[in-house]
Amino acid sequence: MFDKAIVVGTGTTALKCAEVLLKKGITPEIYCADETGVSMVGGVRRLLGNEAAERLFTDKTSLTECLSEEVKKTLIISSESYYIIPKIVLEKENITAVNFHNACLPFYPGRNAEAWSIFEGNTFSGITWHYMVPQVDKGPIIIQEKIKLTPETTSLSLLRQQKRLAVDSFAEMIDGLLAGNINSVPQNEAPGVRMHYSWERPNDGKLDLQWDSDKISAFLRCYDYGLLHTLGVPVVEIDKAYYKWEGYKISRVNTDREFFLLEDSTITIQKGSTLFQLANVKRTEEFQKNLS
Amino acid sequence: MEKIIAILSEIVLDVDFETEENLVDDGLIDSIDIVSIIVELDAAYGISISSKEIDASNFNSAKAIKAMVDRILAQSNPM
Repeated sequence: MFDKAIVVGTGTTALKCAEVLLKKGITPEIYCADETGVSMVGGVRRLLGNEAAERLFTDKTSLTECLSEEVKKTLIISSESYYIIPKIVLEKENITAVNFHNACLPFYPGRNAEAWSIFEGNTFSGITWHYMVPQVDKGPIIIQEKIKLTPETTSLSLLRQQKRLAVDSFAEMIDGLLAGNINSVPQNEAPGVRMHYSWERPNDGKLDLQWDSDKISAFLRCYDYGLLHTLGVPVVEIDKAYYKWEGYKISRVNTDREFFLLEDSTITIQKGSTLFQLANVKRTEEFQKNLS
Repeated sequence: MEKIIAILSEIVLDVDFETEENLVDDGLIDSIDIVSIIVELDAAYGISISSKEIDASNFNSAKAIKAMVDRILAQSNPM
């Protein structure tokens, strides 16, 4: 069905999809349209050799030119890619493109889906592989798997589960995809669902002390990417000053009270029987509503 | 070393941590894996690994990770 496969993306998920293809006897080309996937170089060298590693990084314009000039029957696999494959490529008859999205579409299209699903108090998230159409994250669904969200799930822990499930699901669907006989279903209309863009932040990055315990917990966990600041640094406003923190702890206590206290470098918030402790708190002027 | 390998094996599947010496350089782990490893090491050893430690040389092997943890433990509990 295909003469060629191209993987576009960053990180180990893209590399592992390439490995799945290699096990099927297909040697893909791998491209990364930005410099964020630096760990990719060694991985591509390990899988495909030095020449492929040297070709890995390309700018978006060059990649679009390369893909739009492709004449072979080509399967494009997009995984954790910051490059949006343009309409001019997706509408070519010889191109079939599939994308990994880290949510159960049609819900949470767009960026940072893991954080939004936690922030909005969902009970599940998941992953979707779908055919790509010019409208972002709108194409027919090939495979979808759910992940249960718990009161402990953070954006980091969810991303890790999603990456693992993405590779397992890709391995599951690859034979049907290559043979061209895999079923897909159009996405249902989902009223109220909207695209999240890269600059958007849950509640504009501000923790609201008026929230209930579930919402405060969801906010802290959705911004928790470990040492990565994927969504920037969140703040809390107290007496017209902004404060940021380096770590947090959520615990249950026997008393049932409601208060917050800023003392030394700790903010303690109690909501009912849930205690939140924000550690290494510092005053900051850095608050930014949107990410640049 | 067993404790470190158990933590790594929970986070990254299909890698032989006993022998692998180029986890970062060979693209076997990425930034999400590294920060996940840090979260688990912090919890398991009661330490706080800072972003300054995020360097391929500290994460290329189980042995390198153990050396980093031992160094941080020694700094936090000087004899």
